[in-house]
Amino acid sequence: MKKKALLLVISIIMTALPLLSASSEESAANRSSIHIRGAGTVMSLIQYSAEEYMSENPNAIISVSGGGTTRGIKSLIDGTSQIAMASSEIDEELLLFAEEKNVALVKHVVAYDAIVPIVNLDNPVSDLSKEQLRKIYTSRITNWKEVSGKDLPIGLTTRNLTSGTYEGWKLLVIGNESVISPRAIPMESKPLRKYISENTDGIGYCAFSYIDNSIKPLTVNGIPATFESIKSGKYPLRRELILYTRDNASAEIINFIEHVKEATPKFADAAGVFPLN
Amino acid sequence: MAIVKRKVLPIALAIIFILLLGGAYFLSNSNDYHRSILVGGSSTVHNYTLALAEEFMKDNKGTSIYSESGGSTPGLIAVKNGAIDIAVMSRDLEVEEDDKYIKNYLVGKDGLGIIVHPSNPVANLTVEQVSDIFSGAVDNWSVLGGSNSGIIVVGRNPESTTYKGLADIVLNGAKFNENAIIADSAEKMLDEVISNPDAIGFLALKDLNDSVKVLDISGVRISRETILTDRYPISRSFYFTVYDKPDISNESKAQDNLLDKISGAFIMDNDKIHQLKVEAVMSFISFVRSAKGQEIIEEHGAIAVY
Repeated sequence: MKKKALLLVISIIMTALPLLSASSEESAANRSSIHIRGAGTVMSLIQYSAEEYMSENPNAIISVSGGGTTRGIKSLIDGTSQIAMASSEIDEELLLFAEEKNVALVKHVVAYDAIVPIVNLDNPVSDLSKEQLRKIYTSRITNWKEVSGKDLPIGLTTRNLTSGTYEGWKLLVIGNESVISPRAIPMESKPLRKYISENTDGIGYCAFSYIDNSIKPLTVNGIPATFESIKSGKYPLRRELILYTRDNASAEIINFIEHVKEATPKFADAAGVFPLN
Repeated sequence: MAIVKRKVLPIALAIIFILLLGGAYFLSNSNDYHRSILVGGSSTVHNYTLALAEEFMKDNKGTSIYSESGGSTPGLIAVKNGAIDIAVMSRDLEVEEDDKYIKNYLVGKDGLGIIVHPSNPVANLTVEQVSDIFSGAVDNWSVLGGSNSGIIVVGRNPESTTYKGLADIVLNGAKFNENAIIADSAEKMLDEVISNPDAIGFLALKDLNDSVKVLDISGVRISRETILTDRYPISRSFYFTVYDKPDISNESKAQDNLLDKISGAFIMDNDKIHQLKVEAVMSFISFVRSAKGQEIIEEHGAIAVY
């Protein structure tokens, strides 16, 4: 009896002890897979391109998800994805993060986009200069009557501060010396568009692809965002749409990016972006 | 009997102590000790985790994996607090949930096809319309451009992964139609929809076939490709999420499982235990992303991403 109990105890302990454990570090499968994350503005173009690429290359797995420019670049640096979709350059904090992780990133421009200021359909204002926009977004102009509108305080909205569209707005409109008014309500693209469609005092901005007939796009310095004005560079709020990779990206990844560049003219209309040439 | 027991207990305890001491001494050279991985989050991904963990533990006898289901959000909070090692999530992070320490490994994608009888003239619905149908807010095909007849909703058991998927992606908190016919398998779902001209149901991509009409959603056709790119609206991503904070507090390092400590506490500090834990966690995640792991993901209805 005693012996049996002891044997049992010993055998339990022997099992619990980790002497048998073999730590096997299994590596990820070698099937050709690319994970892509980042800016919603670039996403549509990449979705169409990726679907076409997969239909031509049945062994390829290309997954795409959004989350914004910051998440895209962060995921590329921490190794959870291989391509970042970005609608702005990498900000300082993420550059430091890349340095910390010893990762070098390479920029591939695939298309152009326009950032467009938008107002409510009932707003009589239809054009603002870059300077007026800057004053509005830094609280130096706070009433629509100061820009030939109604006597109505301006309701400021902005894209989330982690979005590439905000980065573009900051770079092109607000400038480095100024900071955005703390009164600006941060929102994602679709809620922002909805907010502007429901608030007559509102102003916001979004990527060209989010323009629809629920809101009024403004011209900037008298120039509307059109295919010609964006391609020629005349429209003042043009920006690059970018794919970032690591500097040691595989041939497969580079191959896919080449595919995107070739496919951009074909999908530009559906994706609401503008080809480089 | 009772006497024997009383005598055995202290002896057994003494032996345990001696063996552990000896074991720990031995282990100080081997770096090898028992590891426990705590996983929690999405109830859908929990089903996958159980199957993945079972297979992983066959070849990794020194690792025990414990999985709890309780929703993506509580899972994320727990992994950020260091209370668990991996949060399993069936959705993308919100902007305000994300920070630089979160590492979000995509492990699978999931999409549901919406099916009707081949004679049904409806070909395309929006996610909102699908939601209205399955919650019962819309109950006649004529509202959706079909014939003037009542909609027959076919559902699945609330425990099935497809039901959870529909509730999660489409219903958005709305209650599932109480008058629905419940099919208890994918085959039964197909049978119900084929045999009823007014029926509507849903299936995982792998279970779709030509005997039923698969609806487009907001103009997008369901396919492996459109689910992988997130363009098909009734799709979602599965993530294994870890929190890679370098200055994680000693307190949360010390939370590592009791078993780990019993065998390691004599010779290893919390940092060492933590490092071994991280290795075990990454080894499990590597397995999930391996060919074998992805095969298990596909067997259970999702789409492989590696």
